Amino acid sequence: MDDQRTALSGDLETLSLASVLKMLSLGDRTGYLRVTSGPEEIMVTLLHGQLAAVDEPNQPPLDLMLALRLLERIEESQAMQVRQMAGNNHAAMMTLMMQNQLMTPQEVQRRVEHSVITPLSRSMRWTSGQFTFRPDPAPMFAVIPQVQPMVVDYAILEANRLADEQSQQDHTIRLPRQAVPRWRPETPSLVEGLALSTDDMQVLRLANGQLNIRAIAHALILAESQVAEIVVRLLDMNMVELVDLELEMALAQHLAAIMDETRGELARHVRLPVDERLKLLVRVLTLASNRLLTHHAFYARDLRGRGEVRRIEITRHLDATFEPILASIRKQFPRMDSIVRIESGAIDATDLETLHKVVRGSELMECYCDAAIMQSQLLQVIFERVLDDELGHSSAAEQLDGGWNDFTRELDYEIARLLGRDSRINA
Amino acid sequence: MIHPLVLVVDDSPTVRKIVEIALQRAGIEVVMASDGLSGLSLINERQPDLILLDIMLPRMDGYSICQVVRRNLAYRDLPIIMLSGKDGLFDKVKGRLSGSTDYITKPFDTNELVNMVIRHLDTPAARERAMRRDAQRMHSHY
Repeated sequence: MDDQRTALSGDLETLSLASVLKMLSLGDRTGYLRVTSGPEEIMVTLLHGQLAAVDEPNQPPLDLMLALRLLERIEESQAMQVRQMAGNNHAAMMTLMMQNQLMTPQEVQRRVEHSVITPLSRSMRWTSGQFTFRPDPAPMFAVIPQVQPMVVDYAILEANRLADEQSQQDHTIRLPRQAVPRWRPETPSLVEGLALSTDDMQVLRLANGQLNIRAIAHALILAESQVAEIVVRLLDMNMVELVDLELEMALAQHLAAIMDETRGELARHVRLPVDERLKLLVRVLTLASNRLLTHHAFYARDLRGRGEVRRIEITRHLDATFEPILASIRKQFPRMDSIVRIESGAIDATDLETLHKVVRGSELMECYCDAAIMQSQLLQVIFERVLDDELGHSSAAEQLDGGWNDFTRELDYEIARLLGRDSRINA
Repeated sequence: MIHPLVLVVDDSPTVRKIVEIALQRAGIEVVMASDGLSGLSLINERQPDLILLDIMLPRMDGYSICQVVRRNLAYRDLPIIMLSGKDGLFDKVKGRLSGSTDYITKPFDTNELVNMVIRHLDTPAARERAMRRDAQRMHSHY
């Protein structure tokens, strides 16, 4: 039993992935080859020196049933049945589809080849990393009966060709494979009359806000770069928008928390003298702005996807982004010039808390009024900036904007009420 | 038109800003320093008509500045208003002994502050100093 031989391991700097695969192929090895490079990982299943499957354990599982439903190739009941029986096992899913005549053996063969070549083409570019081969005499998990494993030489050739294509297109198309396109609300009425190719139409059908470029490419058996190109075209035509569900959820949750907290704090201290109420308003508005900045420190477009970012870099980014905004608003409120500032990525208005120790009378009240109006404007501008940067012009952004507008109307009303009362007192 | 010039020496940017806005509204030109030594150099450089001086300052405190200014014959009659959070009799006496003209405690009403400044600027000596400075400025300009 040759596959009872010892395991093999090493690093890609001394032995390239192509060499490792060729070596295993020449030895007719059967088992799993795990290759890692930084956060990326692939798992290659070899069957007698040939490639049976390549998985990407760090990527979310591909929901082929959902894609086929969207393409109207299967009924919901059929999808459910396959899901129940196969679970998340892709090979089992394909086997069942074939047995139930929902997919021809030829299509399954093409899908398997596609799912081998695509991750392989990405890993062919890795110049550093580790590999480990673990022999397994019967790697049944990823093997589909009736499907021919791929010859290593052919797979390497195809993967390199695809990698070349990808690297040429990478310069012009900057969509990550995790990007999720979604139809815009007005898309259905726009489709007719546009000269869309079959591929364009199919990508559009799958752009439901749940499938990323990788999943769409897999479902349509297209190269990821080709799908990215189509998505870019659809974006230009305003047919789709890019969504990040995790990002939308996080922003929606944080905004809800900020609004609840602000409303709660203002409702808790209703019976305060005007000056104290204005001070409270400034305090909660500053806190709300800072909560938004804290959120943005995690989700800003420039900081995302960069792994661990040092705190100093985050602070620098926030200061550089929001200091000009603050400076511009401050021009309308010269008194606030040194009182409200941005420091270490946060709005600092603590001087206002001790202002009564410096100045009294009408000047103090005017300072409080200026501060309340300014902080309200600042909060709004920070919100707009965060929304635009994180979600862009999307349906989710429109919804969040609507909820936020109600909130800011309440704040504006409260400020106007206090200023009105203040002017009556002064009069 | 003669615009009196006031030097504000205070380490708090908030105080400096509020005083600056209040004085400018009254048509008074303002220069500012955030510590004692910078304040002293600005006195020589800009020759203000009045100094608003905080007591607790970095690098050199308000009393010491006051004493240095009073030792210079040219500034013997320059109005100096001490501006401080301290309201104690000791500080007032110490301020007077070191040569200050007047005293205002924080928190102050900006109207009271401006009135006090105007009152001290409205003296023949102060007017003469302002005219002399303006003449010098014109001379250096041409």
